[in-house]
Amino acid sequence: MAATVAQIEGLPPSVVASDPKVAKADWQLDWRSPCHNAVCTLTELQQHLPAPLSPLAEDFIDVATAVYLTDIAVPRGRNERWVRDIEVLLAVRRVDFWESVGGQLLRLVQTLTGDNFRFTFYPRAQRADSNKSPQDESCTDDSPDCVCLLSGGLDSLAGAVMLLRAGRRPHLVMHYSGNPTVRAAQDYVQQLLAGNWSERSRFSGVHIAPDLRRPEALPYPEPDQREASRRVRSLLYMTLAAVAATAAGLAEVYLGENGVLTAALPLTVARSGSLSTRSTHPAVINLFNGLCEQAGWDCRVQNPFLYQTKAEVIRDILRPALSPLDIQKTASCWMTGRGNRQCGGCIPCLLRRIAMLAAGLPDEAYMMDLLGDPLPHSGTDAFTNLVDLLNHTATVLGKSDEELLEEYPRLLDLAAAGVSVTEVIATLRRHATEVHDVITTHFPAPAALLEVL
Amino acid sequence: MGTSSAQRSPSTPEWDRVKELYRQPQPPPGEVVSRIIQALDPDTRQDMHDRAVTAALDTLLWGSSSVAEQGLEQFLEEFQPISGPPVVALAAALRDTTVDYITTAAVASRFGELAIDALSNTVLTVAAGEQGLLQVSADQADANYGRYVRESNLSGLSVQFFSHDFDRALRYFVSRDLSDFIGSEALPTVSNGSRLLDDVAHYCRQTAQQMDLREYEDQLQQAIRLPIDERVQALRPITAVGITAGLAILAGGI
Repeated sequence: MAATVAQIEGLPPSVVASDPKVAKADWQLDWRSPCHNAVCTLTELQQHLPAPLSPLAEDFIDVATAVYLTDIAVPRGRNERWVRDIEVLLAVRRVDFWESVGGQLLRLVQTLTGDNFRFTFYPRAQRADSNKSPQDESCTDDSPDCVCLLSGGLDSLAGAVMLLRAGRRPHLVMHYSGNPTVRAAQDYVQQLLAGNWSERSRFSGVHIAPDLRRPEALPYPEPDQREASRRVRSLLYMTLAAVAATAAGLAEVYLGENGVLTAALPLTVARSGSLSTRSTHPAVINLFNGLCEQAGWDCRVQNPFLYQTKAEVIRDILRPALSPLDIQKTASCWMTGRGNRQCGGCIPCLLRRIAMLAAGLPDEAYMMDLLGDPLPHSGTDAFTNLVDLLNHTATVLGKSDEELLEEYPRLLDLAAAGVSVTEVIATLRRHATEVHDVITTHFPAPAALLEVL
Repeated sequence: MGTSSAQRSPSTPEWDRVKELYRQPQPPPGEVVSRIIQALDPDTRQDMHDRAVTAALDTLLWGSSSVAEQGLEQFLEEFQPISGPPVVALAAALRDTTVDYITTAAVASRFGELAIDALSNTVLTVAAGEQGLLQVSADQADANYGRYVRESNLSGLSVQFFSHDFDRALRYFVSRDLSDFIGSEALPTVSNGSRLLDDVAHYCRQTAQQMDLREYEDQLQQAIRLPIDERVQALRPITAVGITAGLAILAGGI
């Protein structure tokens, strides 16, 4: 699939009128004018910042928003047609900066998506100020001392709890995508943290999503035509956090994700490359931090759970601070919003259910009981997910470190990012042991498929 | 935040013939590979030797030349903050180099992703030699990998690459369908599935060793002295020959 997407708002009228690439763009994006087809509401974030966003910070948000909306708008093909060719035309305030970091941005987006992106930067026609609002914060003793991303999931909640229990004052930044189930989890997590640490937690939600409610909205794919893989969400998350940190003069940005999903090994060869997400991979974080450095920003994104499994995060950080019920109110499901419960069949649901049990928490109810009774689901994607997870578990437990490097060359990308491969392999082995033990203790049917080791 | 996507082979009579074999206990790996190759449409065969695949081969050959010229330790100095034992760092650096080229040239592809893994496997294998990839010293890795250019045997190094590329590509084709058959009489457990995949991988690597690319040695030696874009361009016909010839050998002379 090849497509050109233009961020139409902000482009100079002369470019809109004369540049054939803009006129012929497959999709035009706009989140500011009356014909907007997306929403980007920064009001809450800006109210919690002691200084207005700089033009470069506004550019970061615009670029991340445009790439996020583009990723959703352009569908992938099947199998060998999975990789897309996408040109994005962007209106920015600092063309000089974006042209100088264009290669790094390209590499970051390519690492996340596996796609062939091209970016063309145009100077904005005028300064956009629709998101401006007066700040109600000034630096005081109880001002935030770091920024932490909060997704509504388990790992990001653990990141916030870790900081709050350590006496830190995080500015907790959330992205609202419009998904009601995720929003409910985010609202619950926010209430939970505010209830326990009201004096030291500050929250900002940023709503960035397609928006076709207005009759005059520019065309954009309807929900059932949108690409579901969503590989660039973390670029948007990191951008919002880095912008918040920079405006407040903070250096630390926390993005909590367990080491297994961070290493992002493909469960099978069939899932290699961009078929497996790399949302919080150290290479991605390094590339993003490189952009911040180029921007002259002090903030750096870090993942405190790089060498921990999800069960360890739950057991060591969440359990001492929160009740099982509170922990269960988070959402991990990849399909969430398509039903009134988490699906139970996607990879995040499988990993969550196993991690909860491995951490000694009660089992949860899901829309499908894939672990309890897998064979009726044979032939479905959910069954494939389970089989591939079991296969991966057996591989990690059965092979030496050398053999794992040969089986999963993607481990080498960790070395390239300066991360200890042997420590990551040790984390993967502990996780595989957790999966094995939970499956063999609680779920006889998948244990039979695993052929107990 | 993370997940992965699973996909299946197209529903065609040719792919159905492949899947029939997964209903049999211990299907011969050569037969599985042969039927898969027969199921590949012309576009897919063409894609198997696209620019991204060629870029992976190019990096492998260029790496041997660069390491032979500079020595491994100096070669790796350009790639900070890469960490790990020498062969791990070398494979990571070459992988990173390939992705950089593919990104800049905007030639990423599904087979390119598999070829990057094949490049990694080739480097890990040839640079480690008999010593083991976590134990081998920088000097020994340097000698093991640099010898291909010193001994004018880039064609032999290319054959190693193609053998790993076929291993990766064929396991990709098998593993995307195999889970549908796990739990059946033929493949009752994931271990049975793994054994089939291991057999396919072994068959591909061993059988591809029959490829003989020595007649291209001079072209390969000349190509690695060119600037990168010209190198990739110069190597494209050899990648096409390698993949086409390899598929024919693997399929038993199709």
